[in-house]
Amino acid sequence: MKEADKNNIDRLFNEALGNAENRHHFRESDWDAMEELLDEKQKRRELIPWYYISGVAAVLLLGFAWYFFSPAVSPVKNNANNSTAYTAPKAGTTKAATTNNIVNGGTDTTGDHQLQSVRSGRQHQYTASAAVTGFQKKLGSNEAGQGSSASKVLLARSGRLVKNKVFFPLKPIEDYITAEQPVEQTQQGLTLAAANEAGVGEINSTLSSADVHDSQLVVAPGEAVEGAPKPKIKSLSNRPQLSLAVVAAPDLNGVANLNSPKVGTNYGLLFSLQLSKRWSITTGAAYAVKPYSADGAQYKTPVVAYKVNPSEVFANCKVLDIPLNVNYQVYGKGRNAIAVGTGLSSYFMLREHYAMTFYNYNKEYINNYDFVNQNKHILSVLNLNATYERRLNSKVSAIIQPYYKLPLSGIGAGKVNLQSTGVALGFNWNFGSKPK
Amino acid sequence: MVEAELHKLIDGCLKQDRKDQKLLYKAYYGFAMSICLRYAGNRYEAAEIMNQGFLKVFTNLHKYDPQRPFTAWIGRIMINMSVDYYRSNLKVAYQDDIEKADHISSNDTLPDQKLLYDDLIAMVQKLPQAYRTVFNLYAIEGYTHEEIGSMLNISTGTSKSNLFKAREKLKKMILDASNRSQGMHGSSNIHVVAISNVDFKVTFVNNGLIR
Repeated sequence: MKEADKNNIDRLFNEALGNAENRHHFRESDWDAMEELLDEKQKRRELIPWYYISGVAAVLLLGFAWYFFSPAVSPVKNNANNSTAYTAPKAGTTKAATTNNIVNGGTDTTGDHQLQSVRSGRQHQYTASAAVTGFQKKLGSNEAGQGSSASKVLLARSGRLVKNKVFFPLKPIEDYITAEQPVEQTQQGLTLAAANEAGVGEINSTLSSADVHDSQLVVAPGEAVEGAPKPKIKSLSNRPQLSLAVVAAPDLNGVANLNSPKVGTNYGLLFSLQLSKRWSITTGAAYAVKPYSADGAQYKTPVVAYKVNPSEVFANCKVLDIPLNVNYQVYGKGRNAIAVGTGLSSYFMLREHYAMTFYNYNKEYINNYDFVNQNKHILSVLNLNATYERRLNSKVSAIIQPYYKLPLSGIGAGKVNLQSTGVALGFNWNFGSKPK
Repeated sequence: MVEAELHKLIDGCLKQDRKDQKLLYKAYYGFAMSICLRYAGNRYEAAEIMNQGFLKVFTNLHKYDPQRPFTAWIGRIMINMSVDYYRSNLKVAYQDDIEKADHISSNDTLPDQKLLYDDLIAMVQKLPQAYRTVFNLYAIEGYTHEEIGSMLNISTGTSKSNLFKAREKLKKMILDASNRSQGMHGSSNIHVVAISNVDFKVTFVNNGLIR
């Protein structure tokens, strides 16, 4: 602050205008306008928590759906064997397993040994009596069936060939043993290595090569088991197919068009629920950083809608994108699938920064404005996307998803026509797959 | 307003009590309006700026330090909002051609005429916005040119220049008002029309308002 100025004009106006508060009397119409502003502000405040709650609720809903649609304990049927109820061993022994598997009835007997093949869609699980996934199998010798002490099963970690040519993917024993599968039966032909010499052994929860005895059990892919009945696939599960995708994308943003886009980023966590073979719905959340530039004509000043637009605006917005899309698989063969999708996104403007440039007599002025959690656009952005998915294994697939986001209303404080496009890359984890 | 009463109102406003908000608004309406009117081009704009200022007051009330005068805090918010208003109107702020400002010699005198508040506020509002903002910040609020330059994103020289032009324009408006006043007086008296310019000037009493 400066010292009091002696200028007469200044003094005249200072004295006359400096203390004039008593000259202006309250007007009800001004308060009415004020109330409108307050109501608008309050509405925004009240809505924001609901949007967050809605997002969390949607995720929980998906979680509950997955949980409740999960099957109860489904015993694996053995149609080639008179199974008796399995009595769980004492503590520390095999747990009665719950599987969603379909027993193909691929029973192969060498001596007293039974072999069951269990399939679960694309995945294959096993009974303790050496159900083999993905392989047709045969027993190389009858050694396996020569009494309990000699009975052996060779199980090894997935991809590792152990002693006698047998290799199975290692799974928890729960996956290999069913509640109805008697241990005695297991002992007859194929006994887990941990089984004791007496014949009714305890079965460890997992097996390693160290636990495995010599075996002549040979399982060869593609070889049909002699005498095995044809596989009979029967689904015992009504679990919906859920998947979780983690994606990241360079996000190109532009106003009105994408001729000179600014590059941002987009990270998303998406849940998909398979409705049918071809249809699915997707929701989730994506955090996007959306920088863009616009000229004044495309923009309204964000602070207050005054008369004049800035000459140029550079904006950087942090956005929470909640999509709700429906997808249709147009192609699916082998490991590859292509789907197209559309839907609407809700944008929650977490943080908006605007650097506005004003030109005046060839001079440039830049004013900065920031908004936090002030704007949201519910189901106001149209999503168009195509997804190429390549399955890497039974659970995981890689996805490439070109997308385009077209706003149906103005976005952000400036209400601009902010368009975005990009190619999202990521992985999809199928955690509730339906047996096929 | 008594301090206890003010604090009670503030507490109510913090709880989003609309009744207390209205009471606070009413209590500081005149003060806020007197500031905003000086920066705005008319009363409508002034009310708009003022309401935006009050919105900021209500939403930032939790930041208010009770140890400091509430009037100063609310006044600062109104001034800041007025500066924002200036920034958002930069394109038109300088539309008034500087060259159009008639040059008035620093030796010109101001008439010793009783100018009412309404006359003076109308004169300020007639100034181009860039001049008006700088004049208010300098002459009424007491900011330096450096501070004004920083607030408005203009150079110190521009601030000085705008202040100078504002003063010139105001002085001319005061003289015009005095002339009109004299003219109106003359029109009621036919023979006054014949008074020469020299005679006209004589009617003013110079009481020292000389720049």
